[in-house]
Amino acid sequence: MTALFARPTSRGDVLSCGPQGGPQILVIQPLFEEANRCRRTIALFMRTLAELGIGSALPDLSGTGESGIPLSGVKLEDWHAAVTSWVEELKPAVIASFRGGALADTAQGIAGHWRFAPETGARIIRDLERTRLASATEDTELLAGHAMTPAFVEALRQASPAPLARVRTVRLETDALDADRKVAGTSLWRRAEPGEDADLAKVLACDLAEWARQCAAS
Amino acid sequence: MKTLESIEDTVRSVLRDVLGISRDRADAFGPETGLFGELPELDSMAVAGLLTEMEDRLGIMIDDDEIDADMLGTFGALVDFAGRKARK
Repeated sequence: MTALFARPTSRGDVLSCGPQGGPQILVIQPLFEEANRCRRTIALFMRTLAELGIGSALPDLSGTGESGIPLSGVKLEDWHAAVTSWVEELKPAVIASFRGGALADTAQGIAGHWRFAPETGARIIRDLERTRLASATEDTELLAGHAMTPAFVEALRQASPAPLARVRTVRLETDALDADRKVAGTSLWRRAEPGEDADLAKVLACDLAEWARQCAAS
Repeated sequence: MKTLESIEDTVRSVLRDVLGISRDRADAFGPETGLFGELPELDSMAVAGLLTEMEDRLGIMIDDDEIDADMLGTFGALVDFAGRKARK
């Protein structure tokens, strides 16, 4: 199985996979707890891309994962700025975003935007608020364990995946919303216990690889 | 309009997928099967995912003030709740 490795960028090391010589995909992860729940499947997705000759990079947005920046100082513009700089440095052919990652996937000079189960900021914030409601803690400073400024929460709540020129949207077949393709699989981002869906990872990687090829050819 | 049987199937599959419980266990759920407070997998972190996934699959909206221990108490109560919302 292809190993994951750390690729240095001006914004710190970025988890990467596959050949660096060929086409590259910039992968934007789901937000908050959803990222942990999807992490293993996204790693399998990147490994399948590598087997198809495609390199990929999975950065941590500011204030998430191992970014080293406290979330309490992060603004939505920081995420857009970070994606712009990764695009300049890694020169991806396509950006692939998962879930709330689609709120930060806009960048110039990209042939196409591929999105899996993209979600609005309003629903992501509502999910966090429900988690806080259900856990019945008195700590109003934290939203489901995350220290975010009220301005950042509001900016996220207003955010939706941007309508871009060339977008392919893939969703689960259980999802009632429209998509270019519906696939079988598990909504891992809701799973209380992290799991993986190897079949879904393969289907998504093949779909993206084929679509990225079409984007590059036209 | 969705039938109550198809709503029950949907709620059962949501519980299976969100909580990661086996098909056999989920298929054995009856109206009186205890959920919140009895099912160890259904903790407060899992409640948000469960309700949002129900919204996605049933095309319903659940208000925060509708969420309480009663509607999450048993499988039967959750199916009844989903049925009322979906058939409105």
